[in-house]
Amino acid sequence: MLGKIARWSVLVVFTLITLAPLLWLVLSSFKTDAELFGNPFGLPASWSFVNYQDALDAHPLLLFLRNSFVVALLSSVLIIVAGLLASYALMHQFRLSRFTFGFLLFGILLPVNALMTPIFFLVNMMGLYNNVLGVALVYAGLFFPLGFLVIKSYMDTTPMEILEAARVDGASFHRIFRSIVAPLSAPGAVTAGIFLMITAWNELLFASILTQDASAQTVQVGVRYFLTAYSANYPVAFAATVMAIAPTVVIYMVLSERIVDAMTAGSLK
Amino acid sequence: MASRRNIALYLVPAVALVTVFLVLPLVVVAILSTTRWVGVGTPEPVGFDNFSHLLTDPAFRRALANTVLWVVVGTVVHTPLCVLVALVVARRPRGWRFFRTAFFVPNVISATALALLWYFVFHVSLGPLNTLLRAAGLDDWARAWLSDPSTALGATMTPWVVYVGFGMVLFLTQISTIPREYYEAAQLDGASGLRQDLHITIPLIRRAIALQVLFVVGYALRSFEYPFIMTSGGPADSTMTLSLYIYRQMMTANQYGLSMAAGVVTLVVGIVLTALIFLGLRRAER
Amino acid sequence: MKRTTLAIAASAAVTLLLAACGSAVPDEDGGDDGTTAPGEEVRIEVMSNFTSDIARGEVLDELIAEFNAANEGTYEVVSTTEADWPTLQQRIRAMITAGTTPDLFLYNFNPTDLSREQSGALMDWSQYLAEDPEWAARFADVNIDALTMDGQVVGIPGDQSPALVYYHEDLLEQAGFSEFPQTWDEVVALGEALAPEGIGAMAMMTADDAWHTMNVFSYLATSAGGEDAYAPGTSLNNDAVVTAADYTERLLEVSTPDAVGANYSVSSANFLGKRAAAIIDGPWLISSIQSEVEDPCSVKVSPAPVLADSAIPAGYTITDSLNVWGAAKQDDPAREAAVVAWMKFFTSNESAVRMAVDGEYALAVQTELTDEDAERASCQMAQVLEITNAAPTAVVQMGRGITASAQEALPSLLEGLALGQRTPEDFAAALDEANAN
Repeated sequence: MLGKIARWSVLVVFTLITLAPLLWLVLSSFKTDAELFGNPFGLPASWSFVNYQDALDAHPLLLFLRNSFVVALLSSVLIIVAGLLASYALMHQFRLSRFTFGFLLFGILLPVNALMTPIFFLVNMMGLYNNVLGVALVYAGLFFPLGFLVIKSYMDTTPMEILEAARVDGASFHRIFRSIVAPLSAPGAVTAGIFLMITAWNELLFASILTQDASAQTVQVGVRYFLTAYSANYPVAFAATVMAIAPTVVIYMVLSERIVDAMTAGSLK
Repeated sequence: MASRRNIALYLVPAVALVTVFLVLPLVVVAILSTTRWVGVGTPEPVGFDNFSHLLTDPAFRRALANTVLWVVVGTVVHTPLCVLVALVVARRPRGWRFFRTAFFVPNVISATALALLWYFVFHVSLGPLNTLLRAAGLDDWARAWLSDPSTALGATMTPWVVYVGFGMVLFLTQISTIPREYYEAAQLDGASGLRQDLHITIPLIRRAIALQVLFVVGYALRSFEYPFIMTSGGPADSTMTLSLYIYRQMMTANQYGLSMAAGVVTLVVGIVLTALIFLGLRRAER
Repeated sequence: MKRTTLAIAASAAVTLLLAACGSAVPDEDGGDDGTTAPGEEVRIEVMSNFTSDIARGEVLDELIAEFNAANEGTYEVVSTTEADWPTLQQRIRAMITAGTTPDLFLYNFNPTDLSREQSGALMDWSQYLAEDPEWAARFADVNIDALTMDGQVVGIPGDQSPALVYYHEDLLEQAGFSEFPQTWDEVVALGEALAPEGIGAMAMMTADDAWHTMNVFSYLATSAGGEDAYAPGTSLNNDAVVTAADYTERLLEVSTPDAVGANYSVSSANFLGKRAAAIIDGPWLISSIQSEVEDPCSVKVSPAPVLADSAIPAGYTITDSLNVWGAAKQDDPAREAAVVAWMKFFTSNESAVRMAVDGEYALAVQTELTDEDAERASCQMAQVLEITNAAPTAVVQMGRGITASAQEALPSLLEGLALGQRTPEDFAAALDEANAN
């Protein structure tokens, strides 16, 4: 009995800590500045989207969202393609195959933030400063080891017999990849893709040092404008924040099981 | 055929990505960390001056100390909380799926948005925390959380510490691999739920715990968004982290050489801590 | 399988290809490289903090529209803005470093940090000033001299705003003051009188460039040590800085509770929302006062107080750094001509008058107001012009003349001071040390 009470209090406390601030954020995004100060916890007087409209008018949020999407998609696709190809190559034994595996994976343990300064100059030298392509490439490089690990672990579960049989039938190296290994690894690639899209969408540091205006800035960089601008209007900032987190949260509500698996995939291998 | 040429061809994109964005920056950061450079013009070699400057810079020492503190808090506060919640959810109370889903929500939200949110939670005049404390008659407890050096660091760590979703899922996955018979045998012996958790579950998930600590270290070295948005590293550098220090030397002070030297130190600290955990992990598995 | 090999080779090389093609990806302003074909419209980008939602931004947009209409088919000016001044400055630096210097940009001139001027990325204006002596005469010689390096003029003076005290008359009356105090000791007393109401004396901040706080600090330091209290080249570890730090600490104590860690927007919002009785800021604040304070003319302007034994008589002003319009060195003469044409239009008397009267913003050029213009000026602008004209001398704000390293260290040092972790003596010593880097 006592144990049961203790267990339920744990659940209730953590649900409150996790969800109450988010709920407060959403409620506050519908309030006026005066309401926020006068009645911080109540329901808003009216459910008007005026703060959302103001947020969209104040800064090009839709452009930020588009940039985030392009960056997340581009970097994830790059990683998945490179990861599938490399994992397939590493299914074959060759001299240096262990070394290559280690080389592709060593970045997973690196605190990559330490590399922000050289990466800033590298991207400048490539002429990709303030360009979504630059951000996407940097993400592709930095997150590659994570995506690769997920894809490789999944591909390694492909039964070798199928490959042998195909080889005996005379299928070429490329054909085996295209018709057998890649399709069989699709679930792994999707898992990696979900994880990578969310990670890239949420990244702040590199996005902020590699971009300088709305043509390339992502939504994580953009929402900060609502606090550094000249007159801080908190409810409008809340509305902008809600819009910035809505895409991932909505997708999570639909695909929660899948996403939980994806976000923790590879970690227990 | 699996010719060497074909294998090499398939490796090109992956090797290119890793070489350009991880290996090359590593080389550059090592070389330029021994120069003084304002970002324009030619870097001027200064030997190890940057490193000796770092050692005497209170802001950098604070960043190092805070990183260690993040690791300690992550290990002794955050991780046990994750284990606790995982143990409760693993017993599948009514609605356990809802709780599992709810606790994981913060992991799909950007740290930027969460930091903005918690900046408001702790805000001195309009923050819900102070409002709640005053409503509860605890006026003395209400304070400027983010500009008081005794609470600012704790405040910037709070969101990360209380969001247990990721660690919980990690432990749940490991717990699900424990054979049911272990618990059945324990029940026959009359062991309470608490005893079962302590003597069966926790020892059997030690591998996941070590892994979790590895993530904690990774996070401590990366931590940037919470101090950057909630306090800008202040007051008086009390919430400074290594990432934020590198960022500030680069973007505000234009001391690119110094910024890269701080990067080198961060890498070394990361490698040392990771190696230590691997050593511990190997011991635990023996 | 030739086809497959090709397909893989293509996708395999995608990373390197994308990277290599990066420089060929057109920038948003397009056609940055190469010369403009005759008859083609030249488009230049002007980067500033003149956002469209504030008065001077509105005037800038109008001026640009007029300029573009008058030069249709030849020149087109577009405005890029960033409201937050430190962010804007950081961006400009990053762009110069990245080799994508904006065509025209407003930046703060700092004699101890000439990295931007010496980057070789800036256009030389000397020839254009020499060709048009009438235009050159519109700028103060001292400003042009400051911007002349190795015979090149690296920028055009933009503005030099006086930082004056703006205060809520009603709040002061409530505390028993009929006008703004003459001495800093009285300001501290004012703060103590207002504290029970939950109102701060001066709106202050410590984040970013600590602008509002450093205005107070600079008035204090010059009042204690004279005009050269923190002149470039002098040690900052001096008595004037220590005295200023001591008073700053006391004033932070009677400021708003969120002053430590506050940035410009928080601090100015505190003043506009009457959570602080006064603020020391530039004339750009006037447009916010007009739009956000209920009875805008109840906000009065005053010269700053002085210390009891002031080294300079009261009435002098602290100013912002000279803000300068820098321009990118252009390979294409047509683009350079466009930049010069716009700059001449922007600094003409007519534009300057409109900027002052409608934009609440005084350009660093001779501005002849007609009586009619003066009538139209806002209640605060008239006082600002009066105080500035009467000022015996002007000193540039301290934060603008220190090195980038010292600027980076400033928030932390001020917070240490406010929290009692540093004595004023420590503060002066640490600031001086950071300034040596």
